[in-house]
Amino acid sequence: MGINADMVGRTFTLNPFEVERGKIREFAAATGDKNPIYTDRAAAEAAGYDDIPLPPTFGTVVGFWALDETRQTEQLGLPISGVLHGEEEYFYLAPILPGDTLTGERKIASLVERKGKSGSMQIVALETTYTNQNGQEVLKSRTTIVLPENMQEG
Amino acid sequence: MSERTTAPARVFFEDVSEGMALPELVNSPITHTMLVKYAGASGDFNPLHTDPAVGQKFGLGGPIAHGMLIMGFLGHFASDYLGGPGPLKQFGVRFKNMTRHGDVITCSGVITQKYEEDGQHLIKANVFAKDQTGEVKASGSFTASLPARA
Repeated sequence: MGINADMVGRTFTLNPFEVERGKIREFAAATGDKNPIYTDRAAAEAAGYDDIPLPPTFGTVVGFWALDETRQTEQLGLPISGVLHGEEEYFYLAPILPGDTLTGERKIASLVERKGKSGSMQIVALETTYTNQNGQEVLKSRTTIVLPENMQEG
Repeated sequence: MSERTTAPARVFFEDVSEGMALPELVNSPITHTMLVKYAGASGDFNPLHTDPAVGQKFGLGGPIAHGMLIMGFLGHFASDYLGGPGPLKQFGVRFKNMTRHGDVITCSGVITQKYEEDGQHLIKANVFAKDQTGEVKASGSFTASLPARA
C-alpha cells in the first residue's frame, strides 16, 4: 500500500537533535573527508569558522537520528521499508555550530502517481525545515522518495 | 582518497570562470566496511546497504551503497573546491544508478554560472559522481556564495 493523497500537507515534528563534535568527526570520516576543519577546532577557526562546521550532507544525520520511524509512519503514513531515494537537496540558511539543538518539521510537499513499465509508483517529496534553539531556520532539505508498487510490501 | 592534512585553500569569486572544470576527487573503492561505517554515522540502517542476504532477496545482486554516501562524496568534492562547506547556499542531486562493492566513484564538476545578486558573489556548478565504467551514479548542482577580493 502506498500513501493516501490526503496526507499531502500533513506535518510531523522530528525529535530535537543536539549537534556534537564527535558526530561531525564520525560523519566526515565515514564519507572519506579528511579536511582537518571537521576534527580540529583550531583548523576550523583558521579557515574562518567559529567552531567545527558541518559537512554539506550532515542534514541526513539529523534526519535519521532524530527520526522516530514508528511515529512518522503513524502521522505521515510513510512506509519504513521498500522506499527508494530519488533526489536530495539542501538549502543552507544559516550557520550551524556544535552545541546547537535542531528541531525538524517535516511536511509531505507533494505526491505524484506515475505509471511505468513495471507497474505504478508514487513519487513523494518531503520538505524538512530545521530550526535551532533560538527559533532561527538554519537548514531546509527536500527529499524525493519513490514507492514502487512491487516493493511496497517489503 | 586524498591524504589531506591541511584545510583546502579558499576560492575567490575572481578566480572562477564559467566553463571551468573543478579538480576531480577519486574516492576509495566501496567496501562492506565503508557501508557499515556510513550506516552508523548517518543513522540509515536500511539492511539493503549492510545485509548481503537482503540485497539478494530484492534481486539487487548484493548490497547497494547508500545514495547519500555518494552525495557525501560529492559534498566532500564541492567543499574541497570551495575551501570548506561554508560558501554553499544550495546543493542537490538526483540518484541515477545503484553503487555496489568495488565501485570506484569519481566526482567531477564544471562551473555553469557566475553572477552577482543582492550584493552576493554567486557561482553555480554541475556535479557528477561516476563509477570506473563512466556510469553516472548521481548528478546535480550546487550554488555557492564566494568572497570577492575587490
